[in-house]
Amino acid sequence: MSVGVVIAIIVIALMVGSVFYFIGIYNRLTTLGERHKNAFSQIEVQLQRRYDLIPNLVETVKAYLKHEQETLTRVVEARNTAVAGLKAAAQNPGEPGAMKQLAQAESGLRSALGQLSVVVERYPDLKADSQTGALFEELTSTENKVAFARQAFNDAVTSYNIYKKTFPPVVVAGMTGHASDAALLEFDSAKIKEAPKVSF
Amino acid sequence: MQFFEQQDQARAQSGRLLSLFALAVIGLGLLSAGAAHVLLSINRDPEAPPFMYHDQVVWCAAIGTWGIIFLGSAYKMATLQAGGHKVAESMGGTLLMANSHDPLERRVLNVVEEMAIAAGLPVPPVYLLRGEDGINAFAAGWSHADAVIGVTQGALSTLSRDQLQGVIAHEFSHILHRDCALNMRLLGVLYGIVVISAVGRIIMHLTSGSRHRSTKKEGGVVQLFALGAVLWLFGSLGVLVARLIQAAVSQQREYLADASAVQFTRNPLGIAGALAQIASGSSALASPAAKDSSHMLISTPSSSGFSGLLSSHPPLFERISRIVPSWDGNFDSLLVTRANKAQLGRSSASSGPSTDTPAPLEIELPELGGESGLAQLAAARGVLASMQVNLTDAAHDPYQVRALLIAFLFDPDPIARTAQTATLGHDAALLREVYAMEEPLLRLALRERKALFNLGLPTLAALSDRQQRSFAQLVTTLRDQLSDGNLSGYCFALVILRHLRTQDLEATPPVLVKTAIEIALGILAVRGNGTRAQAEEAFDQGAAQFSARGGRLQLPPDAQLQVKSLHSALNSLRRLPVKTRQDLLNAAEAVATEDGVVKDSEQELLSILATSLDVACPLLNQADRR
Repeated sequence: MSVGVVIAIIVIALMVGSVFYFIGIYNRLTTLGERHKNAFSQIEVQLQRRYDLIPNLVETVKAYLKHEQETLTRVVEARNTAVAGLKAAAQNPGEPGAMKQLAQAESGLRSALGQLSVVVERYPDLKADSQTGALFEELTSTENKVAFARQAFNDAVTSYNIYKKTFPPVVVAGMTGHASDAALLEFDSAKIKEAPKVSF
Repeated sequence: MQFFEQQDQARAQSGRLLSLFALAVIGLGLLSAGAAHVLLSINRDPEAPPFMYHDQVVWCAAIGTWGIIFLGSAYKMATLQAGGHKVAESMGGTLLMANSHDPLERRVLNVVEEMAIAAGLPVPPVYLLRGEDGINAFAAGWSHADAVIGVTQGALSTLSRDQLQGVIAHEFSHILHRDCALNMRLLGVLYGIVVISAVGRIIMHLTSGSRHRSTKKEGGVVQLFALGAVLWLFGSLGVLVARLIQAAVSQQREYLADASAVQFTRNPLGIAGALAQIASGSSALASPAAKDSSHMLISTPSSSGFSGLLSSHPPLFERISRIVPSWDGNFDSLLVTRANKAQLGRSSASSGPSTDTPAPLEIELPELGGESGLAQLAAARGVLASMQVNLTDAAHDPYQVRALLIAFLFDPDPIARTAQTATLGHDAALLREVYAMEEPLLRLALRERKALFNLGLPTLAALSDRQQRSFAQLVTTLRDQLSDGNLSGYCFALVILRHLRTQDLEATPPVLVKTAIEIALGILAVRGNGTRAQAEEAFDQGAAQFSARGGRLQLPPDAQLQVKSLHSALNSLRRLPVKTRQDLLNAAEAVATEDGVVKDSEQELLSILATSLDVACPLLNQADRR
């Protein structure tokens, strides 16, 4: 047993070690990637609930708002666009194009709903209707849940993106299909202030 | 039904196999030592003086082998350490949201919740393998707190509700008996042995290259080559033996899980039908990670016919025969009777919600089974159904579940309450939700409350790391603001913190096991009895049940029985073997029942103690205890 043997053993140990190390990095990347995709499904659940509420809301207020057909049509259209946007985004969470499209569709829906709530203010009978009140209340409370789920998603995306940029992972990420960053989901904060807020 | 017998048999069998496994690892080290001895002895000039370091080298060979196995398994275990959700994610699983509206997802979530209540475990998060059409399912995780269950899309869409229930109950047995932890350890050691043969191969490869090049014969290189060859040979041999033993252990655990599935559901046709479905369909998985986790699945992931000794699962035929002894050997007969029964059940149900409706918390009672089991399942259903629907929804919603769990920590004592309200003050929406939930929560019966708490825990998995951290901080603050007497609130807080992915925020000083046991039993005795003398009596009752090796157990003075000492006591106790923890729980039960009345507060403490100790606490199956 000579110096050669010692060197051979050290080389082998280093090789085995570095293979383990790279496997570890790859697994971590996959896990983080999977995690933000999972986080999106929570947003999906909450947004879906919102979108399911809107037809009910329209159905309820329709009778009162015969002369506000345009506002209602806008809400329905915005809702349908948002449903399509959500579907596209759910296929590929974190993909920048899809995220942007969903954010825009959501903004459109928010402003349409904001307008609807302004209209509702003008109809005292409708304002007094308990079912409408409950629906608007539910929309508002879902809003909080969406915000919470969005925060979880953005946290997951951020930790994925940050990990990808650190030194050894950046090499592995380039080689293993983790090249592009995932996109955050940001709703236009200016529009949130117009969110349906009705005081009954 | 002899499922208890079958369970005992499977346990004893896997115990013997485990000792064999340990022997194999020890033997491997000794073999390498022997090989080193032979290598050093041959090829030597008999005249030459004996090699000076002969003995040292021989010992190094043995220790080196064990060392490599140890390091290899330590590495593998470190990667598996992260727990169930990582395993599920590596297989491409999607976390199912507890508030999902998809009917099939809703159904599996409901089944998991029912089984959790029947098995007395916290509800594990459920992962769906979306792309997989084979019928399969798995359980993973080190402890009850980080266990997860995974199912394939194929299992969801192909199996009937009863069959799915059988499959999920099978997985719950794996969690309950900690098969995942056992298998991960075996897998770790196996991996260490694989590393040995890999190192041997690498040495052979390197030295064979240099041997060709060098013209003159170099003794060192030849010896090194021989060393590599021996390492490779022994490593491969070791892997084969270890695989055989691991497969045999795994097969025993599968029988155990099948028998337990019958125990939980009292419906042998459910799990048997599911196995028959697998036999007539496929349990193949596309994910490359599946091969490593075959021991966790309900059936082998590769359809290639390497069944037999090396398979992690017994043949389906044999498994079904053990579950349904009267089975005629025809897979179709199980499927046909099942389908008919399902239809019968549906048409006879008056309100008739079909099995696929997303009606919340609906359950089909199995037609077969012992009375006590039927009662157990009916009770599980009753617990779920009697809970307020909005509370159940809240337990499923990541936003609201925080408020729900906080409501469990809300102290009735006015001073503590003021402090807690102030803590929550910065999040008005959350505080409002807590207030809204507190009142309906108090109206629930004890076991409904506990079931709701268990229902809420897995929902925390949907929170991001940052959200979990801030929630953990909030819970810690609220816990420290509890009044001194509020033991159950304190325990609830500890359980919540354990279910968060955050690292344990506060290390506790180590406590002697004996002291820890005395504290746990002592607190229970003092809380349940008015006077010190009565408490002593109750304590002795429990201490008698618990055979302590470190001398007689003594009720500690009141000063030591503070709520806060319970935390460090529990942390020490959790490291004990499962059997000892189970004994401790039995002793705790004896303490609580000593005076003949089990108060609600005592019952609550017992069950939360069980959860903190990672011991199953079946709320309902007293009749099953032997």
